[in-house]
Amino acid sequence: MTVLSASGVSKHFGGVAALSDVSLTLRPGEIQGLIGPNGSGKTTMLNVLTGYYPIDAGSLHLGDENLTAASVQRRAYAGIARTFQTPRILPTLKVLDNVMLGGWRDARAGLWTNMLALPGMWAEERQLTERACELLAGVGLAHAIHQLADVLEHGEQRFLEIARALAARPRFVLLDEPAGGLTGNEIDSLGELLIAIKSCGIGVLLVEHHTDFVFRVCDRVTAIDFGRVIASGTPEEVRNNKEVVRVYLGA
Amino acid sequence: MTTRTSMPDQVGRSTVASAGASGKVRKLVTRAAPLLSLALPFLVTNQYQLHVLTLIGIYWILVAGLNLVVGYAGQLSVGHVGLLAIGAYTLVILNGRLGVDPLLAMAIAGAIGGLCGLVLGLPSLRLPGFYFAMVTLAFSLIVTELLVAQNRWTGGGAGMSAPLFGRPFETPQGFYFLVAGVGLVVTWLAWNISRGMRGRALIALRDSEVAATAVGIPVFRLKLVVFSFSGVTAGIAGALFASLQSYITPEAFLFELGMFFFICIIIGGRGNIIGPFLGTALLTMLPEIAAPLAKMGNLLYGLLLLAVVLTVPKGFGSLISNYVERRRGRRSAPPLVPDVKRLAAAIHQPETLT
Repeated sequence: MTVLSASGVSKHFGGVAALSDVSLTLRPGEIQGLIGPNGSGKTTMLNVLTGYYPIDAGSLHLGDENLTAASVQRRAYAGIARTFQTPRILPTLKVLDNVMLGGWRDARAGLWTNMLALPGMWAEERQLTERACELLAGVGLAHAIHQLADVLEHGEQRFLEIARALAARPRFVLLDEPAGGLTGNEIDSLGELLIAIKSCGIGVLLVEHHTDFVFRVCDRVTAIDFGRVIASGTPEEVRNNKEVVRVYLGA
Repeated sequence: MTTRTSMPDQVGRSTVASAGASGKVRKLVTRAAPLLSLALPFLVTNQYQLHVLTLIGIYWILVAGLNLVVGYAGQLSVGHVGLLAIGAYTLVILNGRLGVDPLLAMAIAGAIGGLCGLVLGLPSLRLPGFYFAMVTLAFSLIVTELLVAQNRWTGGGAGMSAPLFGRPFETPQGFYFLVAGVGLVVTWLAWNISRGMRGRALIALRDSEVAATAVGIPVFRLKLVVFSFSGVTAGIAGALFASLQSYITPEAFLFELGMFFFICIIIGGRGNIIGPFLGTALLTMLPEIAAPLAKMGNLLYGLLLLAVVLTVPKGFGSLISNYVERRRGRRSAPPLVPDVKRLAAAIHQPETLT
């Protein structure tokens, strides 16, 4: 079983310790929740895992591969995909093209094949298109395939980003507050999506504020505060942890 | 096989180049444009009009490459006039001092232009947008100064005369066909880049570099590739430009011309090809049509730029796509209902690409 593991990760911004000695393991086919108050380091952790921030101490491994110093792109190729707290869509492109972009790591057509529009390019385009269409239909955006991405509503943009992340055929998907701004029905749909994704053997990291949602869909949950892990375990254990209740959930 | 009701009718053509523009319009343009460009010399009534058309073609050869850098990748290069100058002087030096055939010299000018693009891009393309623009500006100023200073090779401020191309390109009409042919090939290459994965990736660099890196796009390398490509087209355009002008001095390559190319793209609209082409044609013709106003060329450009940026900030190209989008409209979005079986099938779909 290939796991994505961070051990003893520390990250400082100037004098502020954003993460101190944080360890986290994502397993294939599991949803791992990451919760904590605002500014506790959740998004920092996600940026550390995906390589946007280099770390000051600790290590990151995907299976046997040491990714501690790997570039963002290297990690994408290794099978780590993500979404963003504010959806980073390409507003001037169609929804379909946005998802196809996720297939970059499968695009093998060389520059010359591309410039001369050789048959290899079209075969590849066809396959990427087909896959992107299926993923879009899967997340419930079949109706929007040919629309420009910036006319989509907020919830649709979030699901579009998930489809783009899946288009990369990832082993792990890291979601940064995917339920943010969604309606109740959309959150239910999101839950269905996450369960479907994990049952395909993909590991999911769910950074989220909607704790009800987190405790409902996650297999394991880690809570952090001031960059330190304060609790980790099953949703039940973490929900009843005194420290978590005190700093985050409230009585 | 599952039913694929959602498959677009034109699989493989649902591409970035077409974002917004309808398929019919695009088909018409892609078929009519080459024919029209080859028929034009028979429609003009005098040599002067032919000269202007040729000039449009030459500028476009440069802008077609630059468009990938500015319009698609969003890298604001204002210094391509420096690469144009390098191409032009490559032709006159190789031909005038070493006796190289102009056609071969033009090919070499393209290669040298590409090389200079690569060398200029290596240190500068990692810089944030504003600083990158400054580097390209400095580059174009340095090139002009060097052309004056290196007078043993370049003739200094006095300039050098440029050769005509050999048969059958020695007549104005023949030369136009050479320019049109090169222009069509360059446009086709740029179009191909723009409508595949690299086109999507370039737009990702422009709209969200963070999203681009997240899917694994090698940002710097991709920028370097299109910047070098734009160097090749600028070098070739330079060689043709020199021959058309028949005599070149460093004064033909002032910074204003670099701004001119940049403005052609901004006015035409970013992220498409037809817009910047129309921009190039319009801006080249403008001072020529309004002959009495020729001296006010820069003023006209300025006013036009102001008008476009204030009224259609996304350029002419966006007018067409806006029209199409508005006609298509947006029905109110149905609720998001995932189809988890289909999603699972799509995720499990093995990688079949080779």
